[in-house]
Amino acid sequence: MIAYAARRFVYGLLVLLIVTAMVFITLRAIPGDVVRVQLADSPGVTEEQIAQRTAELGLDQPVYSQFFVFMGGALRGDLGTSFQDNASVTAEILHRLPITLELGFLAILLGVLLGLPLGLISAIRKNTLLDQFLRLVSVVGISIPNFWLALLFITYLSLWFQWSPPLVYVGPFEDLSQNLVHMTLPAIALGTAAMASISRMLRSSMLEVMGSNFIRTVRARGASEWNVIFKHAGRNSTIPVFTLLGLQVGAVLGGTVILESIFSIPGMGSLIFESVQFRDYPMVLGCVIFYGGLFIMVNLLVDVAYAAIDPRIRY
Amino acid sequence: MTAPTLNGVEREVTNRPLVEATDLVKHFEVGGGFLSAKRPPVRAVDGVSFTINRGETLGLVGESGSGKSTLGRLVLRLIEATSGSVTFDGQDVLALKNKELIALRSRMQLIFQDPVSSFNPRMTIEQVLTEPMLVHGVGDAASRKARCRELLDLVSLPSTALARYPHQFSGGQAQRIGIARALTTNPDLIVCDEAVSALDVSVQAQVLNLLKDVQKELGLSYLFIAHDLNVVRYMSDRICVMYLGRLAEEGPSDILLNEPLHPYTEALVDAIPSSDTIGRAREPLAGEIPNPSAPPSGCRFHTRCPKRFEPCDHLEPELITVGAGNVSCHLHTEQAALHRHQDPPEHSLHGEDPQEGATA
Amino acid sequence: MTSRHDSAPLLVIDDLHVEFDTGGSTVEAVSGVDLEIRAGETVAVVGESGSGKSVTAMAVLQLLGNGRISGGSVTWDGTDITHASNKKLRSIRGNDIAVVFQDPMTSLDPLYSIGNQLSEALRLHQRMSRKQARERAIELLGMVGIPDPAHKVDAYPHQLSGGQRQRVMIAGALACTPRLMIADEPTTALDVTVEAQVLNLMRDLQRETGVALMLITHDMGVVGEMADRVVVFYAGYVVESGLADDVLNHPQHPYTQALLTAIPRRDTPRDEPMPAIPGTVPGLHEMPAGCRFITRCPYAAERCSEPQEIVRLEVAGKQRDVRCWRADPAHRTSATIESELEVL
Ligand SMILES: Nc1ncnc2c1ncn2[C@@H]1O[C@H](COP(=O)(O)OP(=O)(O)OP(=O)(O)O)[C@@H](O)[C@H]1O
Ligand SMILES: Nc1ncnc2c1ncn2[C@@H]1O[C@H](COP(=O)(O)OP(=O)(O)OP(=O)(O)O)[C@@H](O)[C@H]1O
Ligand code: SF4
Ligand SMILES: [Mg+2]
Ligand SMILES: [Mg+2]
Repeated sequence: MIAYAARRFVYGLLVLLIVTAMVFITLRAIPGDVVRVQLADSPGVTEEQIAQRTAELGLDQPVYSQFFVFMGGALRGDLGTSFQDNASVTAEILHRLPITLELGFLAILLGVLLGLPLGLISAIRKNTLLDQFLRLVSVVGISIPNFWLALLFITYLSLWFQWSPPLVYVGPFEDLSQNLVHMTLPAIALGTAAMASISRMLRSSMLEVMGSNFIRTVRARGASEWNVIFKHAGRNSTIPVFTLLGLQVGAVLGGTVILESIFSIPGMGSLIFESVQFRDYPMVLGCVIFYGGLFIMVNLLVDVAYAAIDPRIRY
Repeated sequence: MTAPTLNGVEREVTNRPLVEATDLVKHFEVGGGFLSAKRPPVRAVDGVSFTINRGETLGLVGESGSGKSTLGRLVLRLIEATSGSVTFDGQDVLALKNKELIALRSRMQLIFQDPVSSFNPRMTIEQVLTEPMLVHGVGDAASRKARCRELLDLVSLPSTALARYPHQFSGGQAQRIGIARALTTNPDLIVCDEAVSALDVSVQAQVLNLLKDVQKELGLSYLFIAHDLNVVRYMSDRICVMYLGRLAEEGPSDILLNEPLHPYTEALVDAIPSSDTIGRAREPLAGEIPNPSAPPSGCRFHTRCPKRFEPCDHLEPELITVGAGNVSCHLHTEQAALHRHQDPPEHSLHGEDPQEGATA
Repeated sequence: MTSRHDSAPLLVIDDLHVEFDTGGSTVEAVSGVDLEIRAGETVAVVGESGSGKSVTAMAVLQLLGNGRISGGSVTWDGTDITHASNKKLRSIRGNDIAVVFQDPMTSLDPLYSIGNQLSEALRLHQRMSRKQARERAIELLGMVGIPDPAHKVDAYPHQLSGGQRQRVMIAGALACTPRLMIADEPTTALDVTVEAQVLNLMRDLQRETGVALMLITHDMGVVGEMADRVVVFYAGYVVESGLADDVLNHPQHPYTQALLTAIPRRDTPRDEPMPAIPGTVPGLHEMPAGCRFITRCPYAAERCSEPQEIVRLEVAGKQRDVRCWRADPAHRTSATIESELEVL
C-alpha cells in the first residue's frame, strides 16, 4: 500500500512536471510582449528601457534555458518573482491558498452533504414524483455553468434584497460569520454541479446494487431496510462516487478562477485571473503548479480511500 | 527435485503436446492489506505438472478449493504464476510480452460456470460475439457478421438471437452463447471451468453433446473442470485428480475411475451419488479439510486417508508412473520400490533420481 | 416417515402464480404451483432450467425484486403470509425460513468479511453480542467444513473458492436453526466428497432439529439420497410429484422419463451422444395453451393441445400426481400403449 502510494506520488510529480512544461511553453507562445503590455501606459518609454526590462526578467534567453532556470528555482521552493511587483510568487500563493482551499472545501462539502442524501432518496423512491423532480434538479444542476449561477445570485439578490457581496474579504479567524456570508454564495454556485453529479451517480449505482444478488441475501436474512440500505447498498454504491469526487475536485478548482473574481475573493483563483491579464508568467505558472498538485493529491487520497472501502483492491 | 515427466515414453513417439505445464505454483498472498498483518500465503497450486494433447480432453477434478480454477487461470495466464512454466504449442506462455500474450489469447479461451454474468448486459449477442474478433483484429464488419451467424448455427441457435440481449436467454442457451463466444477466434484450447455445472441435466446433455461435436469438427483440446465425475468421465480422455494444490493421480479416465490407485480418488469414486443408491447416505471422507496455507507434512492427504501408514506423515510421495497413469501415494511408491529391489539401496524411498518416474 | 405425513404441513403453496415486469410487458414465470412441506420432511424440486423453481422459492419469502405474486397463496405454519407486512416477513426470514441462494459467487457482499455477514442474522434474531456472534460464526464455518475457520472468518468473499462461498451461504442459512431451509442448488459448486459432507450435515441437522428441507437440485443422485418426496417442474408448473423412490424408478410423465435418461451415468458410452431432450422450453411469451411439454414430447397427440389437469393416481400403492392425460388409467387404451411401445 505504502509502496503503491509512493509510486503514485512519483507518477503524480511527473505529470505535474509535464503540465508545468506545457503551460510554460504555451504562455511564451501567447502573442503580445509582456514588457510592452506592462509599460504600455507609461508615456515616453524608450526602446532601451524595454530591452533593459526584458533582460531583467530573463525574457531574452531561449525558452528552454528560461525553463531550466525556473525549474531550478522551483525545486528549491522558489517559484520566482512576480512581473508586476517583484514580490515572491511562493509567498503570494501561500498567502492566498488558504482562501481558495476554504472555498473549494465548502463547495465540495456542500456537494457531498446534499448530493448523497438526494441521490439516496432518489434511488429509494425510484420512479416516484419526488424522484422525477430530484432527477430534473440534477440535470439542471449539471448543465448550468457556475459563473452564470453566480451572476444570477448577485443580480437577483441585489434586485430583491439590495444585497451585494462584500468587497473586502475577512478571514474565518477574524470574523467567521462575516466570512461565511461572503463565501456561501460562491460555494453554492461552485458546489451545485458537484452536488448534481454526485446525486445522479449515487442514484444509478445504488439502483444497480439494490438489484444485485447479495442484497437479496441480506434481505433473506431478515435484515431491516435500514441495514440493507446503509450498511450494504450504501457502501457498495459509494465506490463509483469516489472516482467522481476526485474529478469534481478538479472542476471546483477550475471554477474558483472565475467565481473568486466575481465575488472579489482574494484567493488563488482571482490571483491567476489577474496574472493572466497582466502576462505575469511566474505567477500563472506558480498557480498552475499548486492547482495541479492539489488535484493530484486529492486523487491520491481517493485511491487510498478505495483500498479502505473495497477489500478486493490491493496494491 | 525435478518435475515428474508425464507419459515420458509416449511423448517421444507422438508429436508435441499442445499444453505442457511444469511444476506450476501459485501462492496467494493474504492479509497484509490495508492495516492488517500478513499471514502465510494460500498455496492454491503447489507444484503441478500435466500435458494436454491436441484434440484431447483433460478432465480436472478435486476437492473444492483444491486449486482447479486457479490452475485453469494459470494456464491462460489470467493470473501470474508464482513459479513454474507453461508452454502452449511450444511457446513459453509465462515469458510472453503483453502483445504476444494477446495474440496467443485468441488461441485459448475460457468458458465459465455462469455465462450470463460474464456478458455485458448492455451488449447484444452480436456485440458479445464480435468483441473478441475486434480485439484480435479479425476480418471486416461483413465477415465478422457472417462468422457470428456461422457460430450460432454451430451451437444450434437461430440467427435472430444476434439482436437480443444476454438476459433474454435461458441458462442453457446462454451457455451455448458462451461456447460460441469462446469459438469466435478459432482457439486450440478451451478451458471449461464448471461450464455445465449450473445447467439442468437435459440442457447439460445438449451442451455436452455440443462440446463434443465441436471438438470433433474443429480438433479442439479441452481442459474440462467439473465436479460431477460421471460428466468428467463422459467428456475426458484423461483425468487429473487434484488434492490441496497438488496432483494426486492422473490417468486414462475409465481406468482411473474403475481402478483408482490413490486413496483420495477412491474416496471420490465412492462418493459419486447415483439415483440407484436411493436413500443410502454416502460415507464422506473423515476429518477436516486441511488449511491450504499450512498444508499437512508428508502426503497432503494423510490427515484424512483411511490407508495411511508409516511414511505418510513425514515423507512426501512423488508422482510416479503406475500402469497407464501416474499417482502420488506411498502405497504405490512402496510397490514400485519392491519391484525394483535389485536396484542399488540408495535408490529407494527418497526418489531423488529424475529417471525414477519413467523407469517405474 | 408415515407419521410425518400425518402432521400438519409447515408450508403450503397453493396455486401460486408469479409475474415479472419486463420493461413494458409482464411475463408469468410461475403459473399454478402446488407444493406442501411438512416438518422434518425433505422435498426435492427438480426440473428444466427456467421452469420457475427458484422463483417459487423466492416467492415464499417475497424476495421477488421486480416480480410479484399474482395469484394463489403461501401459508406458513397455518397463517397466510401472501399479504403479510414487511415486519412479519422480516421476523420469518432468516429465522424460521432460511434460504441458500443459487449463485454463491454473487450472493455475498464483496465489501464485508464473511464473519461479519454471518454475524448479522445472529445479532438480529438471537440478539447475540458481537463476540458471541463471531464465535458462533467460526463454529458454523467449521460445521460446513471450511478449513481453518478461525482465520477464514475474516476472509472476504473474493478470497474463497466457489465451493467455499457456497458453504458460507449454507452456514448462514443454518445460523438461526430455522424450521424450514430452502436450498437452491446448494451443492452445484461442490465436489462429491464435500457434497456428501454437506448433505450429511443437513441430514444430521434434520435429525437434531427437525428442520424441513426444500431442496432445489438437478442432481438426481442427490434427490435419491436425500428426498422423501420429489416435485418435478416444467415451464412454470408441476408436471409430476410423488415419493422420491417411486418417481425416480417409475416416472409417469414423459418429461420426467426423458429427464432421467439424460443423466450421465458411470457406464454411459463415451463415444455416443448423450440422450438429450431435443428442442428447448418454450419462451414465457409463447407458452402453448395445452400441455407445455407438447413441443418436445415424443407422445404428443391431439388431446395434448387441451389444457392438462393434474391426474391423481395410485402407483404401486402410493399417491402420484401427474399432469398428463395419458397417465389417467381411464385413457390407457390399447392405442396409447401401442404408440408408447413404438417409441420405445
Ligand atoms: N484471490 C485469492 N486470494 C487468496 N486466496 C485465494 C484467491 N483465489 C483463490 N484462493 C484460494 O486458493 C484456493 C484454491 O482456489 P480455487 O478457486 O482454485 O479452487 P477450486 O479448486 O476451483 O475450488 P472450487 O471447486 O470450489 O471452485 C482456495 O483455498 C481459495 O481460498
Ligand atoms: N427478475 C426477473 N425478471 C424477469 N423474468 C424473470 C426474473 N427472474 C426470473 N425470471 C424468469 O422466470 C422464469 C423462471 O426462472 P427461475 O429462476 O425460477 O428458473 P429455475 O427453475 O430456477 O431455473 P434454473 O434451474 O436455471 O435455476 C425464467 O424464464 C426466468 O427468465
Ligand atoms: S500416501 Fe499414504 S496418506 Fe497419502 S494417500 Fe497414500 S496411503 Fe494415504
Ligand atoms: Mg473453481
Ligand atoms: Mg434456479
